Amino acid sequence: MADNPETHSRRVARLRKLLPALALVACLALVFGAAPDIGQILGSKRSDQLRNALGGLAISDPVFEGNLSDDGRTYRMTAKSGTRNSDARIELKTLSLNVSPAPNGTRQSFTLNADRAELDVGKQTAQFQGNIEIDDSLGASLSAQSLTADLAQGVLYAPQGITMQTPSGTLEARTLRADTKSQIYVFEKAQLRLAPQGEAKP
Amino acid sequence: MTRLAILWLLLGALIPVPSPAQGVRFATDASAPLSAKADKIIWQQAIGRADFSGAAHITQGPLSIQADTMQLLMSPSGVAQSLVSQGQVVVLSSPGPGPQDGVHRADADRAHYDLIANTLLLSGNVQVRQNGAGKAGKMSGASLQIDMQTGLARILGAPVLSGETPKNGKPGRARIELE
Repeated sequence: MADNPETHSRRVARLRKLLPALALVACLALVFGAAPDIGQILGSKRSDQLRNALGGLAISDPVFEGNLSDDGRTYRMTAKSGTRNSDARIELKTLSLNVSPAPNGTRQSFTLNADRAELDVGKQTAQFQGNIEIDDSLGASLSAQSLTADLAQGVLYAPQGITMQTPSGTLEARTLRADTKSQIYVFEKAQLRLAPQGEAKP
Repeated sequence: MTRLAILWLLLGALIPVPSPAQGVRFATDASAPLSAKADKIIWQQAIGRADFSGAAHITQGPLSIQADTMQLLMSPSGVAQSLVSQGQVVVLSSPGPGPQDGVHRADADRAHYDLIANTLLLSGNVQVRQNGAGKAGKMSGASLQIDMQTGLARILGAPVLSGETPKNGKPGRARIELE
């Protein structure tokens, strides 16, 4: 049964209010060093509020802007669409995220693009799929087709191949498991290509 | 031929060390990109170190190194500084363009490639075999240093281990055999 216009308007307004915060926290925490300690940011009470608020609605061409709570960096995230699939799952399509550098210079800026992202608020996990590209302001970039993140633990897993490019060289691997808290990255079946010293960018 | 070999052995025993290894030049290209492969690479970003294990193998132009394990050490800015190989280290260089540039193989317990100074230092039970251009030879010693820009190698008699002084404060002897 279709909603009446008033109910629909209320739902859209509610979604517009809550979806940015939900999607932003999950996406930013996914990226290296952005906000691995998501538990401090997304407390259980707020998580429940978000989980119960999205009533199976979709929003097209959402644009989210604001500041990160942990270091004040500004962000702008766009997507073709945002959809709530189940009780605690949010799906974003054609996602693009830009984060500015921290005002005190302690954290760099970065961008993230992906074809799809599915965020599980309850489990605090996120999965990116399709043409994932992460670039930071130091000249490093990461490409993958699939990336899973445990937001609470700060653990990333790329099971279908990954390519990292830095000013020093390129690293390709079949899999990557990264612990962003301890900054330990484990590559399986890996090949590293270091540029000659003279060619390395500063 | 046997007399010649004995003569070379005697001469080898008299050669003061360190000395340039007779006509030994590895084919190198320090300006070529360095490629490293391994079954597993563990990168500890906080301390700037990457550990390679499982069929660890690197190539740079005509020269390759394989070993049980390798460690790549980086500066805080992420620039590669040195590569340390340990366990059954084998250095191979393909024939170079010169008449004396045959195929060289060096075996050692450990290798330290200083990527800034462009030197490769092999240590521990070093053996060098040379083939090509109508001559073959074998050398052994405690360590071997290769200038990666020129390819020239020096075999040294005394053990060269970090933090360790050679016995009696004097270097040992290198051994050279030519066939």
